Amino acid sequence: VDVMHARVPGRAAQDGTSVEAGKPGLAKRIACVVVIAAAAVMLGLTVNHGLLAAAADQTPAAIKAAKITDRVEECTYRTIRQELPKGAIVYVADYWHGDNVRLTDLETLWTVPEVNPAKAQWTLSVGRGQLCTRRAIKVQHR
Amino acid sequence: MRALFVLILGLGVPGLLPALAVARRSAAVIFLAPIIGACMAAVGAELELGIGGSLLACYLVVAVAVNIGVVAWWLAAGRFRQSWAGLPLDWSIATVVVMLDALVIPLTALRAPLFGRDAEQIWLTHAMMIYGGHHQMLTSLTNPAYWSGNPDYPPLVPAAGALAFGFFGLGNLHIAIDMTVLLNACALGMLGTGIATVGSAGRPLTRMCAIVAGAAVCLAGFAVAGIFGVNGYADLLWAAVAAAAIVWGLVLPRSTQALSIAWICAAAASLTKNEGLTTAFIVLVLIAFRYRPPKLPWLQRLRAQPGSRRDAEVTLRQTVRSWAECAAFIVVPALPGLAWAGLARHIGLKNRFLSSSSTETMTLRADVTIHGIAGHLAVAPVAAAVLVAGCLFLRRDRQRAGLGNPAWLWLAWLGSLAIIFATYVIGPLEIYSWLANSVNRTTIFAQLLLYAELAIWLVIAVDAISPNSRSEQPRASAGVAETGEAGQPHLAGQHDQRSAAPEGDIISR
Repeated sequence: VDVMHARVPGRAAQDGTSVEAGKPGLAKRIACVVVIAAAAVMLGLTVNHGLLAAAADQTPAAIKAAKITDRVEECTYRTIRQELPKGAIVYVADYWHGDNVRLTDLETLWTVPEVNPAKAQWTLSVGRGQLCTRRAIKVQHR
Repeated sequence: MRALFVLILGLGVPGLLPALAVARRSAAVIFLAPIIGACMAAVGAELELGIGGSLLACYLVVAVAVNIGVVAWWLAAGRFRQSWAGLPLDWSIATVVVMLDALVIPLTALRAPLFGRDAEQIWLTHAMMIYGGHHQMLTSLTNPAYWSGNPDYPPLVPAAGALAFGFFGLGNLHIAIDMTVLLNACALGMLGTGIATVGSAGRPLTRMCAIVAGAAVCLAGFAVAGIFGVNGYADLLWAAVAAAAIVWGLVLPRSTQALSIAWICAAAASLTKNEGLTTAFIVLVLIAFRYRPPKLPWLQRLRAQPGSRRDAEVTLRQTVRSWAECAAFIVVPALPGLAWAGLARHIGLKNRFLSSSSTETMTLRADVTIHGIAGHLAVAPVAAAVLVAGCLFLRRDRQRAGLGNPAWLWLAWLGSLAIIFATYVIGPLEIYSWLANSVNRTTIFAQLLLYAELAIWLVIAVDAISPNSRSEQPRASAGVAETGEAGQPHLAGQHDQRSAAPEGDIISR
């Protein structure tokens, strides 16, 4: 898209005003400098802040921590598929809170989450232990 | 790398032809193609839920239909088709290279496989549901166990994730998160190329400045979003495409090309999140008023001279047609987003943010919300000051450049903020924790738009101050039809210069 098409010397602009010749006036030049400085400083500060924050998130320790969390997700996903039969109706205790939410999410496509424990064949919950490094999954058949 | 493969092959290639038809030689093609592909995947997910089948089958149907439609239009349009003239190819390539360089920097965060809470609970889970086919999708979305994951959220992000699962299976769940992050980058690329286009026909200095400003806004987008730009959240995606829709539709000179790109961006925003749908609706209303201002010739004629009954009927028809065109400009691009909202309502999904009322008083909620939102808009006073300086000293430069009145952008900004404010005030959740958990994400759009506004004024100021700034080449793009609009919002059809548009151009009708 061409947006500066009216800038031809000596040609009248399409809004009916004539195109001025020569340099912009002092006030306008000062305004331009102010606008450029304000915009450049704000953009520069924000970009700098973003780069610093991104660098902080990519330290070896941060990457290692993220990889551990990722492995926990994968491990939980696999464990659910190993411990429960496909299509099982599963009640996740306190299913809206904490890590239990993740159990409901990660059992998607394998089991059927059920909010009423009386209708469920199995109960899933998160307990303490070394399974999946950080998260232990307790499976109970009802 | 796998996500990049899906982005290019799964989304980019099916979206390439429509992107070329719309954006032609513009640098935006590179970023627009995956966005169009993602929109088609989202429509495929709507078909999957509404009709049946799998995502891959529905996506294939949509992609083939869209591409056939583009080819048919290309052949049928014939002599009415606009030429391929536009930006010099080397500048388009330079724009793409600079934008990609800027976007690669924040994308290095993908080395750390981050899993945001919503990324898993909402987007990854929905992606698996969509991947599972119609029955799985329907039964899961309507299962109360999943209702904490906002099942009414639109399907663009999970459809892209499900497409990645379709390519590589469920062996690596993080690929869905990576897809969202790459789409975030594409959306920012659309915004950045829009800003670069502001200076595309200026002097080389202006062009370079515009490209750098566009790249800076891309980086600023990831900076504003912070961790939410790279851990699978969709807030940056809807915010960036909505901001891009504003730049292409409300800032750049009126042209079929800019209008089409703005519509696609607005459709993408409406298919990404509920906030995106409401914001897209505001943007589409403003675009419709800019391109097709509804007229009242019937009323004007009655006031001027009461004519015959036949004249009155003719003017009434003109009035109705004018309003119908304006309404079509709003509804047609919003259809994919509205279709999802209708489907969700049809199968009984409710928005949990509007389903009940809070026990806190409205005054308290409003007060806390204002403070919460204001805390994330530190850029607003600077942007307002630049707006005032620009309107006082650079108004004519903006007019000559054919750029839209800044009032359009600020109206969109205020409208979006008003809806988010109203949602917090009338919503059911405890306001302090709700704001603490979300206001940094719901204000990404407002912040990003202000940075875009700063960048646009920066380009105008550089062009105005640079020596011999008015010795520029004649217009190159046949699609550009508007000049001199910036003085007044184009609400009543004044300064109508649409006759300058080429034959067959949508804005010339």
